[in-house]
Amino acid sequence: MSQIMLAVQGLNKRFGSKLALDGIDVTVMEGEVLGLLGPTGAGKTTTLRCISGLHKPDAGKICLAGQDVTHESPMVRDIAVVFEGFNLLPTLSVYDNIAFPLRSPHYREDESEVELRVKRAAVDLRIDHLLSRRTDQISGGEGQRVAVARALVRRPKLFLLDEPLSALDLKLREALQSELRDMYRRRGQTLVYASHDFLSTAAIASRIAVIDVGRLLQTGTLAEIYADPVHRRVGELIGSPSMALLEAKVRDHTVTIDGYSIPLQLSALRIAGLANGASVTIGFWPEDIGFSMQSAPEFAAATLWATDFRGKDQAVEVRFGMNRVRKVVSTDLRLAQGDPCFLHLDPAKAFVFATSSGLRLRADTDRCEGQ
Amino acid sequence: MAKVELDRLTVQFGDVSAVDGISLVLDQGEFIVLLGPSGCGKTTALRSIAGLQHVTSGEIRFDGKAVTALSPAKRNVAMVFQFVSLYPHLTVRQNVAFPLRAKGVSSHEIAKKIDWIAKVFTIDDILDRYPVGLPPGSRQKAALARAVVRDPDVLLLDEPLSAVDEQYREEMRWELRHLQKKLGITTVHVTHDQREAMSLADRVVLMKAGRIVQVGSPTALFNDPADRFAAFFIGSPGMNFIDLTLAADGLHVAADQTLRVSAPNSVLESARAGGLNQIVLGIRPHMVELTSEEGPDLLPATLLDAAPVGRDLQAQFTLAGQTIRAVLPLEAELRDRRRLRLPPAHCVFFAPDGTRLGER
Repeated sequence: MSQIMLAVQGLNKRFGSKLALDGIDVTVMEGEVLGLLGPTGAGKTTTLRCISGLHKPDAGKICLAGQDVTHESPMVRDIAVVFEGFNLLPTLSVYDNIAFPLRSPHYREDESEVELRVKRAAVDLRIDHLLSRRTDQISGGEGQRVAVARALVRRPKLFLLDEPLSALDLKLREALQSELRDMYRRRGQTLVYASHDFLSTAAIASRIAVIDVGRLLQTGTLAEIYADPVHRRVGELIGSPSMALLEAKVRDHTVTIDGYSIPLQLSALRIAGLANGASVTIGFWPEDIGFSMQSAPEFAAATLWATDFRGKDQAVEVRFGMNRVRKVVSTDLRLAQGDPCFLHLDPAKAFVFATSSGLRLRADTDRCEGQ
Repeated sequence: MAKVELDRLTVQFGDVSAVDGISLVLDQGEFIVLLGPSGCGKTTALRSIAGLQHVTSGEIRFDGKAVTALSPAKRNVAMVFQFVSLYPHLTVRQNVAFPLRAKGVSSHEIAKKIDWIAKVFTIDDILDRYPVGLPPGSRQKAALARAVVRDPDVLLLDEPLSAVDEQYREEMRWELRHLQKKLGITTVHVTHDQREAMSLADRVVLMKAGRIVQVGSPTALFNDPADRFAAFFIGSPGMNFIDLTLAADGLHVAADQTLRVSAPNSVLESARAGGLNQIVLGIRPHMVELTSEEGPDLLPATLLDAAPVGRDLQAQFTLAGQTIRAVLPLEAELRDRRRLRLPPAHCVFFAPDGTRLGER
């Protein structure tokens, strides 16, 4: 049975006056791939550096396979790290770069074992033809693979990958994403993958932890997060396109979304305690929004602000009042910028967020009313 | 706004043809994206249009007039680079006014122009701020405003989005599409990012090794690739390729001759005409179907792995030793479904050298 591989509790880290991490709690099970998703500056790298021991946290506890390692040196934590920009050793061959961790005093292995493992990792990452090259004779994408292979030769308790693919061009990134996922799954290894890119995180991770300004906003599978986003920032960071967040006002037990002519009848519970005229933010996942080029009952008029043909599908940005919605629509629709169009917002699919704090208004214990 | 023609444009660096005789006509107001891997010649082509690159042979025409010999300043083109180059000691307003002042436009006229461009670009609130401290998206918008404020015939964009964060990039893609259509300015944009190209372009020009591989709408590039390179380069996850052998009785999977695959007659004919006995089938992952039925054209496959990605289920199968990726609906039932259907309408076929077989 799988056990808890990593448990982080109440992690705090301050740089001067800036609180970089503010009470990070996260648990990663053995064999799990956890995606740490957040914008640049959210605290992803600081979190990984604390876990690996490269930063000393100001408060909090880090347990690895049940053992408290908070005060242990990075050398003995048995964690492999791949950072963006991968730092290969330029004077060594690809082979020697990959073999490096196996020759360190802490994990010294027989050379025959080293050769076996280096070759296996090189085959996994399809760089076995490059082993004798020097690292300045290989491309950026190949260098990235070497860095991952170097982390893979050991069987550490935990892998930490910090935007390891963001420097690569899209085609390589996609190829490596699925290779990485397959490889870790196959080997049953535990991995934390930090990225600012939703699509690559979704492609790799089995669970996602959303981080923003030093705090973990929510942790769960994508399905769990879609069903129950706790904060408007979660909506902004999840999905492609991400959640539509609409400015609205409470008026006599209904919610009026700016620019949308049909008032939303939300159950009294969900807007309880809000005064007439109070501002709220209403979130809809794009997939839950009805879109039509013809007027229809329950659909309100809006304008097509821009279109985005993408081959397989097309997306639209629709504007109304001060609000906008982005949504993937059928390629069969003939669309042009500036066209009138129509949207349907189903109150049962609405998430209500406090405009000031961004927190979900929790009176709505479930959003399935009326179903 | 001009119609732009490239006529057998060639740029050589020593023995190497960076751009190798490309011809292309850009309609007035069209948004063209030059796409390709690094070294394909897309940036050299763009710099040639700008006049920043000496052309070895061929001609460039704006509205029928040759500009090949004109200096950049005489071409009335505007260019925006990857790294925003706003003057740091000037406010956004002064930056945008700069090209107009240089042209000797009157202060009154400049004020009117700036009012107009600030509305179009929604940069009213940053007009009097300095570039330092502005978010990258706003800086890039200001740079674009400065580029188009003097009504250039052609707007040239050299990977302007590649240096910004994914979130801003998404924002800027939407802005750029909206603004380009609104201004109706002929635009050439260079990128190696196929997602960006597909998303922005009216027509994509896919390049490789100095030559044009395919020109077409994003939909045409996606559904009807000119060759195996185009099929590989466009779309994500990438297209599946399956090696086939051609025998007297038709096509078989190369690694397992008991498995048959059907193909349009035109494919078989052109393969036979070319004396080929090996060809390659290509199919996009989201066109692969999974079924529990049995039939002559259904291919038995073993499920390797399936994981939800966003609102799709991405699954991998092995088919006679080859990995096949499929993008299935999230609710797809995987158990007891052991056969893949490759709908013929969505299959494309290639010769071993990558050229497309059959009618297009």
